[in-house]
Amino acid sequence: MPDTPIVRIDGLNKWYGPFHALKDVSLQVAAGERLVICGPSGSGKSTLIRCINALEPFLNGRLEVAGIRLDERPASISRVREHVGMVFQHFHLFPHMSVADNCALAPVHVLGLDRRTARERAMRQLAKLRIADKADRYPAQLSGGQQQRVAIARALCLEPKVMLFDEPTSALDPEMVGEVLDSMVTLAESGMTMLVVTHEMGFARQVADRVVFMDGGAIVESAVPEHFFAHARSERAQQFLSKIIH
Amino acid sequence: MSFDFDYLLTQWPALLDGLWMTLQVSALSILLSLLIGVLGAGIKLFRLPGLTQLVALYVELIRNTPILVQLFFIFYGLPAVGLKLSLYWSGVLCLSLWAGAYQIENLRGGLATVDKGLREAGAALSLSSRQFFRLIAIPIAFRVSLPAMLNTAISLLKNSAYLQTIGLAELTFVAVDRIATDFRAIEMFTAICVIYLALVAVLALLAGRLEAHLQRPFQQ
Ligand SMILES: Nc1ncnc2c1ncn2[C@@H]1O[C@H](COP(=O)(O)OP(=O)(O)OP(=O)(O)O)[C@@H](O)[C@H]1O
Ligand SMILES: [Mg+2]
Repeated sequence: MPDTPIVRIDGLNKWYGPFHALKDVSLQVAAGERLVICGPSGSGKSTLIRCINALEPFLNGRLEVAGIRLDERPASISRVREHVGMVFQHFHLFPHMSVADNCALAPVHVLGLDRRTARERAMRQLAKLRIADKADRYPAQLSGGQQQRVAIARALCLEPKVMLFDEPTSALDPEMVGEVLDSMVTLAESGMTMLVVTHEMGFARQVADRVVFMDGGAIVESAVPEHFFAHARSERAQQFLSKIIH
Repeated sequence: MSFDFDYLLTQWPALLDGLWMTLQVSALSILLSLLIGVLGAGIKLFRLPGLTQLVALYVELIRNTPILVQLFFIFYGLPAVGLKLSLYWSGVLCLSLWAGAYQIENLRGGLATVDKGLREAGAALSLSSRQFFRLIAIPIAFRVSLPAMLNTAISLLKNSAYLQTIGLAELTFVAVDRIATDFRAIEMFTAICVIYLALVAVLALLAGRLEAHLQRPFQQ
């Protein structure tokens, strides 16, 4: 491999009590690569990407993001988190803050930017997500699709090197899925490294460099989309695909 | 004997002095009790070792003993161990500690409504838990807890009347003091009742304004 991977996971194991949630997972993601992670419910997709920004502690294995080795030290955790943006299924915007303040918060309090610079940065990201006109609204006044686009803008305001998405469209009304997926396609075209947990196979076909299929806490398959959709090797993946694509 | 308004007019300057003292002591104690509330609720939320138990003990102690006993403990008891506070600061300390215990519990109720997802969103943005507490959890909890916190503040204001027992010249003290010489009980107690009612009304009005302000982001 010419470049060192931007995310490097080696032999990751995680338990919830006695339950072995991640089984010896290894994964390397090159800078600019777009990964779609799919698999049945409970297969460990969320757990895996939540380990990458230390929302979940892992038990053993090795995890490196942008050259930073993730360990228990708060310093290593916060450095990794500055490089990793995350978008959640349920948006989790801060409800008492305007859209612009949601976006400017981390630049001010984490990066130490002054308020004006942070606000400018927020407005730039909101404009890219085509939602700058809502900058002074509050989350409760926006539709789900708009909230999710704000959440993407908020994460981008730290100028991360990697973006994680955990089922970003699953909580949306069907008519709003498109606007969020479009934003994600645009982001992918800008060269962002993305790890996306989603069941939107159209999105996977359109932008993914690789589809990773998980089952029972392990990565079962990893292939380019055309290959994965046409000739999934494992029986579990074939079953999964037949359920999800009709 | 009839209700003598002219008498009240002659006592108005003394009552105003008492009112001013009540206002000062209560306003300062309300602010300090809120500070105690934020600190105590924070300690309990983060389960800081040692301090958590201390806060729990403090809350139980305050809630399960009479405020009058707490006041006497501070004013008559503490000097025996070398801590002698002025009338004024004994009063402020008593009211702040008393209301602080309730504000801790009020805020805890509000903090419990803060979605775990928001905490994760904050963490994902690299905010520290302290930053999350200050910038997100507390503002959200304040809105939820405001009605309960207002009740505590109103009780504090009313309980400031206990301070007359140690001789602090607040509103009730002035009234009782005058009655002892002039025997105009009905006039005096009517007057201070009206004043207390007005103070509570003002406090409720201010809280209402604050609530409307905090509520704004949550309206569609
Ligand atoms: N906090 C927890 N405590 C105990 N078990 C957990 C916890 N979080 C997740 N699990 C378990 O770990 C397994 C993997 O969960 P995970 O959320 O990663 O699955 P997923 O692939 O994201 O599923 P879904 O598609 O439903 O979101 C599941 O069996 C789940 O029950
Ligand atoms: Mg999940």
